[in-house]
Amino acid sequence: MALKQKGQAAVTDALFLLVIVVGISSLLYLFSSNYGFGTSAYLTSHYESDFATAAIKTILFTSVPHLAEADIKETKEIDYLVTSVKQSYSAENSPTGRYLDDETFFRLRDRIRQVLKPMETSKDYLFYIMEVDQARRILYLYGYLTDFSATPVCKGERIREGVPDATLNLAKRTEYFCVVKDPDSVSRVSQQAQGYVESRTGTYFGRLDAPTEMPAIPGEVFLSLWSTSCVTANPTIFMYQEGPITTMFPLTTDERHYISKSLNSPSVQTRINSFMEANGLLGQKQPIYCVPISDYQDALSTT
Amino acid sequence: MLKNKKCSKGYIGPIGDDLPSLIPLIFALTIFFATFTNTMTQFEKKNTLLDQDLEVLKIARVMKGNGYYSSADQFQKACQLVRTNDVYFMALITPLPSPDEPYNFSIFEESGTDLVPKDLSSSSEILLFDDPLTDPKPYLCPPYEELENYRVPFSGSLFKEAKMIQRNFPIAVETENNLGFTYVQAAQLVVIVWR
Repeated sequence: MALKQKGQAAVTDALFLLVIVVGISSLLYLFSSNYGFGTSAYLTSHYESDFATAAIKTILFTSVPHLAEADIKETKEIDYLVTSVKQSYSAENSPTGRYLDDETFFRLRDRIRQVLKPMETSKDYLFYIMEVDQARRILYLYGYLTDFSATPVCKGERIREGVPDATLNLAKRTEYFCVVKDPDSVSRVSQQAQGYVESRTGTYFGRLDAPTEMPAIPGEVFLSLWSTSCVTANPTIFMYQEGPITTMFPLTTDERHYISKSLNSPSVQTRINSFMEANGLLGQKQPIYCVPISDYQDALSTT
Repeated sequence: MLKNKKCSKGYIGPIGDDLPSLIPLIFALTIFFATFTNTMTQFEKKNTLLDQDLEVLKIARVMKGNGYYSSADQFQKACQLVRTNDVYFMALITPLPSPDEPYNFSIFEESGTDLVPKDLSSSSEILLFDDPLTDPKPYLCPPYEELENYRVPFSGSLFKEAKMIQRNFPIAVETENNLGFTYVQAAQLVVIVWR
């Protein structure tokens, strides 16, 4: 009996060793399959940050013809785009606020769209220019966003069997001009977006009625990029204008000439408040309110 | 007397009794070494890719400079400053399409069922030239003459083996318009690295 047990003990030991080795091998396999993801994600984030920094510089320091209708290859009067923005700012210096004219709105849009083209298939982005004095007004806010609000996946609903393509087609990538009441609304995107990267650069805006103690207003230009996600479907962060903007509120002659100002009008603010009250969002921070650029262009064509 | 008598039932011998235990032992060793070898292979592969990714960023940082180029000579000076660590690289500046055109940049084109590199010397769609009307110099690093000596992984079996990493960056480049006035256009710097 003792001899039989001796033989079994050797096999048992070997089986124990087999179990231990299988456990160690599983751990090794897990390690090898997960190795490098963190570093790879860090390097990707580093690259996107470099890209955003280079993009802001390129956007601001490329040239535009002084006259909007001229062809840059056939004109003598050429400005940097940032110069054109500053000129527009100082020209629009009115007691009701400081805005940029519509030509500058679309020049900036063209350049932003061109420079960020390599990223637009996988990233949503916001480009904005802000005064950083006490007023902290956002002068320009352009967004290239994926609107998931019509898709079931961002509402937490299950995708119906047999209609996967219909779901994907409901997610639209659209250009928007946006406004905010509270500049902090824009920073809330970073709290919910995945793969969020931001770059900024400083500048100064001149004003015609500048007091001696503040000859120029400091400003900042921001570019935020993030991976396409359901953050754009969150109504506490983004709200979208539906339908042509001219049907949503009456425009005065002055407002028709400067569509960019009309988004800050009291009538739009009233509409935002009504929406928030209807959806139980009163008391929460104001969202970023966005109008599709096609509606902007339609409204301009009626002026 | 029974103590001196060995019972042969179930007893082969001192070594023979251990023979069955060799089976799981060998099995365990095989599993361990196979997993270990596989782990080391994956480790090396991923490290190689991460190193290449890091090299792309280092090279791009040198080539980008301050994000503004006024001539192809300036670009070539930056090219000479690049120091690589056991990788081959290529950097070029390419024009960006206008805002409403699709983005289709690639240095490869289809040839039957294969992908082959485009002829950089003659393609103004993928390469930006300094002074295109008078003395066209490409924004290409390394220059054409040195590119021929590179182990270019574009042909035959080398293409299928090489793992290339490409990164694009926006960049501002000075050029002249038809009236001879300087203006700055938006372009993109493309950096490609392979081993």
